[in-house]
Amino acid sequence: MSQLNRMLQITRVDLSYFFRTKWLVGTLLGLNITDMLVVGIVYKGMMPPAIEGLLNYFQFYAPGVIITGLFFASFDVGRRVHLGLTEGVSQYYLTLPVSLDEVAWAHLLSAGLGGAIYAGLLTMMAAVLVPQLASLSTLALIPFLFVLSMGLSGIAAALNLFSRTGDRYFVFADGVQTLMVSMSTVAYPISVIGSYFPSPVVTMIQLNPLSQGAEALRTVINGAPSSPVFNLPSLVLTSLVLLAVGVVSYRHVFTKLRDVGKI
Amino acid sequence: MRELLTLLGYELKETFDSIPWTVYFWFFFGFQYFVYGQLVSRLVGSNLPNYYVYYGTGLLIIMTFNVASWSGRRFVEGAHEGRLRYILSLPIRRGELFLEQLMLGFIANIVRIGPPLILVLWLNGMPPIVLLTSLAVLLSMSVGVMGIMISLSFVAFKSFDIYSAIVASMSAILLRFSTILYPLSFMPNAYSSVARFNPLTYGADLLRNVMNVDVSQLLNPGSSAFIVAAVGVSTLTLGMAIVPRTLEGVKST
Repeated sequence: MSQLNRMLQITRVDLSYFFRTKWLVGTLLGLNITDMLVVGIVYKGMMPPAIEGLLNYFQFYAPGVIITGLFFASFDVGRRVHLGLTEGVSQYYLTLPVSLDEVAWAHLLSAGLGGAIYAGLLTMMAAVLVPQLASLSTLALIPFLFVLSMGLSGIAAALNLFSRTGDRYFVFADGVQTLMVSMSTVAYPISVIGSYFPSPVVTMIQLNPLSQGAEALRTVINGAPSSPVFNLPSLVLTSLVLLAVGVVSYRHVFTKLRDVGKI
Repeated sequence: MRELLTLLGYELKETFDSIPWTVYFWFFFGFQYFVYGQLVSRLVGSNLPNYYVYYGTGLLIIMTFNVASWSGRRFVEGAHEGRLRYILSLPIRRGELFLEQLMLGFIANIVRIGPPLILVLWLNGMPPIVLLTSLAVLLSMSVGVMGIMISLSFVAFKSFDIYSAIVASMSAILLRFSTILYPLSFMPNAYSSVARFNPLTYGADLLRNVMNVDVSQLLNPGSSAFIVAAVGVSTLTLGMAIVPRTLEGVKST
């Protein structure tokens, strides 16, 4: 078996662990579907009739929910690695004939795939109510969503580096998720954000990969860029930077685990 | 009584050893209130003029729900992992043990929800007496939520994974199909019919009533108070009936 095959085996095991964790899939689906089909529809009646060229708030919010789902699904790799480190699974991986880089890439790859698959499922559900999402443009966006998903998992990898034992990882992870979702255009347009925050914060929100992903999907719905936030090269660049952070973090984590026996 | 207080002291120490979680609850509240709440209320605009206050009170209910379900889950988790078996072997009556768990939940709730509640009241210029009535409503609700989580414990002893999946999905549904984030009048008929069967709807509207939030869309405070109290009493009774049967002889993981 080649090293690549062994890396893909680890990816497959890690990915199947994500989809087999019933409480997690229950939480994610419960959260995302009710967000989309209940919060989105009720807020549609409370919000202004048109937002950034889109017909209503539901059309605006559904892409945000899809990207949030992608984020949470890809971010779960951090939980799996944290458990792997505390329960000895990672130590087992290091005994296999694979390099540290391959173990790191296997986790990031499974995070990317998990996020992209989960976002694909949410997109199919959303397409029932927003038919524009069932288009070739959405298909063309999948590779970008995959890169975004891998990039977002880099943040989880960095958290693995700083949170060694106990509950600390979960507290940090929840904190980062709250921060990233709140400080993005997932739920509100940039024009409203601009009226509340000073311009440096608005710029940070525009650069937030969640904002970039949501705006890419909104562009698919609208047929043309509806907001100045949409910027595909920036999405790819931000994701690649975060992915590099993830590779370096996991390399460091697994090197320390191999050399010292713990992180 | 001495045994109860000793056990309570031990469990409180263990609960608040995890200070980051308490800080996270406040962090979550801060972001939701000062960022999400502000921005969404700007979007809602004149459709519901005082939506920011409405959202703030709803957020307190979400916090209460999260903290109470955390307390309930912790109890079930302890039972599932064998910790409770040890506690059951101590010379303490089952009634006292149940009371101790309730007091633990109350204290954890007050510590985590108290500061956000005081902040909301202060920012909205509400009188100090409202603090007591609001706290009474929130604690009554937390009893109901803890009761629901503990009553579902019989599922946990078959599979804790499935228990967690059910609790998580149920939480998402209960929070969304209620008046926590939006009044009944803005919901489609199908949703508002479901929301009327949700105890959180009555808890949220009762809290707004005691805080005197004027949105002219609230349910009758008398019936809301009755339902909140009834849910608390009935889930507690159910929990007291189910828990002793399911706990004795439960297998650890």
